[in-house]
Amino acid sequence: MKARRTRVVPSLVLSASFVGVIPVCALQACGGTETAQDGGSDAKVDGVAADAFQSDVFLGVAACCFDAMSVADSAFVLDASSDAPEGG
Amino acid sequence: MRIRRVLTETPLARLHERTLLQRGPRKGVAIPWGSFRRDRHPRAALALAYDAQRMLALGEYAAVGLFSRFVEALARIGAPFDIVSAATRVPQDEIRHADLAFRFAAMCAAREVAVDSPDEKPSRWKDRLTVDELDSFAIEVIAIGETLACALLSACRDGATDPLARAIYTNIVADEVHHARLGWYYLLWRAPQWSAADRQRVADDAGALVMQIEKRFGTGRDAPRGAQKAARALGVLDTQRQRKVVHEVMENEIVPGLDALGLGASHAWEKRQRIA
Repeated sequence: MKARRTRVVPSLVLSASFVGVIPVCALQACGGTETAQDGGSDAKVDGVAADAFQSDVFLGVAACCFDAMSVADSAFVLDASSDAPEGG
Repeated sequence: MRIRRVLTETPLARLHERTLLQRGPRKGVAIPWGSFRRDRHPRAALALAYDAQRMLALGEYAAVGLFSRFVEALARIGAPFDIVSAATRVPQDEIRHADLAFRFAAMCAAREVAVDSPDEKPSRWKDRLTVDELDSFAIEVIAIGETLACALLSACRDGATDPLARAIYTNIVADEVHHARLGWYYLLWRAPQWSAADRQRVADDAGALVMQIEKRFGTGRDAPRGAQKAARALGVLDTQRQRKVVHEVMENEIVPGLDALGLGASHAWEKRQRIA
């Protein structure tokens, strides 16, 4: 059964065209400088580190159900007879 | 603390069953609880479906508190009424989704299901949200998180041929789409108000997350040989399909959406951590 794919991000958003900046982590990944400009912004980066995004960030439903850390448990579930459902 | 599916013995429980579980507040399909036959599914498929539903239950239950804090903060800062109003619906949707997932997990396992309280997990979002934190929350939890959830849960639904699994995923996806759009509309309202420094801060939050996504969501639930079709029928998403879904939603929706808001996500996506 193949369902029609719903477009989630509203077209109103996709058609917006705000002057852009470049995330610091992207600059750092290519050895860039501390100035982030994309299309005319004069934003100056004040040294926010790429790892400012901490490992404890909890992304709600997506992270809880599909994050690799959550999914890793399922292999355990398959192996752990005490936790796996009976029969079937 | 452990969370279990518990109802009172008051009329509220009957109201909950009738209004929340039969059919969602939106145009949902009725849930055919009586159609499920455990003995038709192999043990490995049931185990994976149980695990997926248990984790979904935890995520949905945690989202009740997360979105309640979002609503409180929106009201406190005087956000537009339509945004506040849409946000108030989310916690009710999430407890309904949690209930659906708890029930289905219990049916897969043939026993009661309990999960650790979300409060036991570390989280950035436990305190009152400031305006700056609201932006980060809207980016991480709603716009990116819920859009990813929509795509992944839609893929679960598309593979599910078991009537109960399919109905549950259909109901949940129907609401999650609105939750994700709430995040995008919030950002569209906020974007013109951002100073250059604000925009950079939000872009840094979004970019750091975008760089992690492919790797972080690169593992699905893979059934052993002989149980793959059955697992898919119960809505279980394997690694191959999960990677494809994540890649598509990032390329076609999330990154273009963030770029349109001036957050430069395509730069971060180019430099993302890739699956080895």
